Amino acid sequence: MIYRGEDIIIRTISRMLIPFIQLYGLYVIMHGHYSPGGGFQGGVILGASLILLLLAYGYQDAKSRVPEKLLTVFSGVGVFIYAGTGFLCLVLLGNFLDYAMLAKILHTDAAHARSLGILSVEIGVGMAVMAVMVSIFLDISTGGVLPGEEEEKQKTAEEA
Amino acid sequence: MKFFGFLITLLTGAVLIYGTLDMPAYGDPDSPASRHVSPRYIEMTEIETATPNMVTSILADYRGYDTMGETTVIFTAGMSCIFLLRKRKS
Amino acid sequence: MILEQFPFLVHSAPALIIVIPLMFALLTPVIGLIRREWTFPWMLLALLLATLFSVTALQDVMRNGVIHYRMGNWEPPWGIEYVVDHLNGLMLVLISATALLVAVYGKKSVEQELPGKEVYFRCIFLLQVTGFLGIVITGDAFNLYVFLEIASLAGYALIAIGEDGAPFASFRYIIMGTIGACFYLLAIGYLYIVTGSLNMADLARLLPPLYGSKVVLTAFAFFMVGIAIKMALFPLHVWLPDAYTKAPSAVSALVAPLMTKVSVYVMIRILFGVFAPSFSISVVPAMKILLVAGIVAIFTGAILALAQKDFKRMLCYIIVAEVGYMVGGVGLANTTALRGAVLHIANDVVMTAGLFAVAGIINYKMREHRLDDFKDMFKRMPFTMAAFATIALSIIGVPPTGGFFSKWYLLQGALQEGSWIFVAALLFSSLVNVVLFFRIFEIGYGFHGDHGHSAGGDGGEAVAIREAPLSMLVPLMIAAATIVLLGFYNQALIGKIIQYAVPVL
Repeated sequence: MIYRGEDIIIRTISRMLIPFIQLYGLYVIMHGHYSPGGGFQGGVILGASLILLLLAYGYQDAKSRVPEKLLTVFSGVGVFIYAGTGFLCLVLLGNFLDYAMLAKILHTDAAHARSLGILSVEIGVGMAVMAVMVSIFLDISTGGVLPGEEEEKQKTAEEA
Repeated sequence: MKFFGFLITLLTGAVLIYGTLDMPAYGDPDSPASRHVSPRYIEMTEIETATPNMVTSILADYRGYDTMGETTVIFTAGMSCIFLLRKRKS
Repeated sequence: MILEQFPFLVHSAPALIIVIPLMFALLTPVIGLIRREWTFPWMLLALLLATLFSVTALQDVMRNGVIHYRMGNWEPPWGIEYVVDHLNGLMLVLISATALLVAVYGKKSVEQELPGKEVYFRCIFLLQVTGFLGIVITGDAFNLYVFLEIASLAGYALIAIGEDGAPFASFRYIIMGTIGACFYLLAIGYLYIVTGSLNMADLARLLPPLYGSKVVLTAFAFFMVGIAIKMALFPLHVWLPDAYTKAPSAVSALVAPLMTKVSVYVMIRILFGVFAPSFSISVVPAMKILLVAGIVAIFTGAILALAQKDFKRMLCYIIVAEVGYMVGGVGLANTTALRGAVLHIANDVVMTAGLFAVAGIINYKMREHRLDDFKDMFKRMPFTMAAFATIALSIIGVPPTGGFFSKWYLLQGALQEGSWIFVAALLFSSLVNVVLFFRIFEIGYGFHGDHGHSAGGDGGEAVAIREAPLSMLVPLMIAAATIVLLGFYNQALIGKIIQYAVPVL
């Protein structure tokens, strides 16, 4: 189980750090074209920021920001963005994942369409990696028994 | 039994090392790995994909289909964890 | 087929076969959040489309020859290429059709065995099928590994959810399977170092001058051992009986027939597609080793099957023996035996799926799958048992069924090669199968020898007919009918598909 964190230093520092970590994660995803980075690395950084949130605040408090259903949806939709980009190329009468076909709807040349295709794919990878990391962390750390509504009420009552 | 396992591990390692004997020298610019497909990736990535980072262009474009597979592996891992561990009905 | 009016769809079929089940799988959890029940038709639709496109691709291959499909439109050594020829076209149809039948069949048993987990089950089931299809269709050695990973990972999860002891069985499978996959990956790495290519056709072009190289020999050895673990070739089969016995019924019916056969396919592809037949036969003694391994697997599989009291476990050892047939058939290294081995892949997928489906039905009714649970089953479930008897006769190798003909080709191949031990192994295992299945028939009819009609409602001891649910029975009947049809049309299958699928040696 992940319990509510007690340490005020950890909570304050995490609260200050998390936005920067997430910003850096987004930067790594977006900057994969020019520097080391990309969807996998950026996704892991984003996921780490959310795990830090969970560790510092406990599942109860962090739940409103990281609901487990949203994580499930994100991991599916993330990979779907990847496969969907490929499928869009197929719908535009190209081969699967032939990003050059995206030039037809993006009004650029083939090379830049490929660049944008890579970007879209990296965003999908980032979403999926982030969501799966947090989801696996939740499942393993709680043994799969996510605290339900009832338990939550009981705990807040006890604390009060 | 433990000794037997140790012996097999040693043997496997020995075979792997035996295999390295004929390999091209480490970092050899004339090795097949750097001559066969790599030159195109290095020379053409900017022209063909407008992406200066060739690691990214290989990962997400030239061999993008493999990366989709790898992302699916990650997705499968996440779904498996939910499938096996999560008890509450979601 | 309807699809022929859309040439673009036919052209894209190789990609769609994989991408459709994959995209449907990705959205399954999302659909599940909206409405749980919708996931079942959703999954069926995906598998139906995959089957449709597989059939289209196979027809296209039969008409216009080998299909090459470039992912991302990059030409082969640089990008990834899908290649559909007669061999994997056949495999694609087998896999997708089996998956479709098992999906229909599995609805009831999954609802009974895994209540509340159907949504994720269906998601991972689709991923598993995607993995199998991806392994088979690809023309790129590394892409094969990626899909092998998807298939294995999904398989571990599906097996671990089974009955008591399943997580441990699955864990053993994970360890063994990961070693196998690692060996495969190491082999690819070694080949890449000396050739600089990952494409199978390109490798086949670049490798011949390097056949003496130690790197290539090591890579070949690692390929073979890695795949042998995945196909549960004796003595690397130890993970199989536990894993497939303890898996949920629907999972056994999907994974047991397909994982081993897909691995046999990969072995054939590597032996004859990546390496030249001349290398596999004369440069290294691979064929002799495979023949011996096959013979040993047949004997031990058959003997161990005799010792089992549990039906599913018995089937698992039969699989070990059946893998021996195919590996031995490849090891005989002549055209007839090789055709027999490929025909046996087709037959065995149908037979094993059918037998595990019977095990699932027994489990659905009795919540157990021991041999004793077959007591009075012929009276209670006449249709199920009729289908079971047909499939059992095929696995024994009785003429009009498919199993006879593939054994016949294997036998002829062995005679051509003068390998009497393989002939003996085939006959021995057929005899053992006779003992195994007639023992079950005996239990099924009851020991008193009252062979009364199944609709007997007169005596006090008469058992009422309690057939399996229709959604389980119909797929089983289709499997039984298919195995008979495969027997009748084996000439056509060999003449139209398999003779182009294997190299002439």
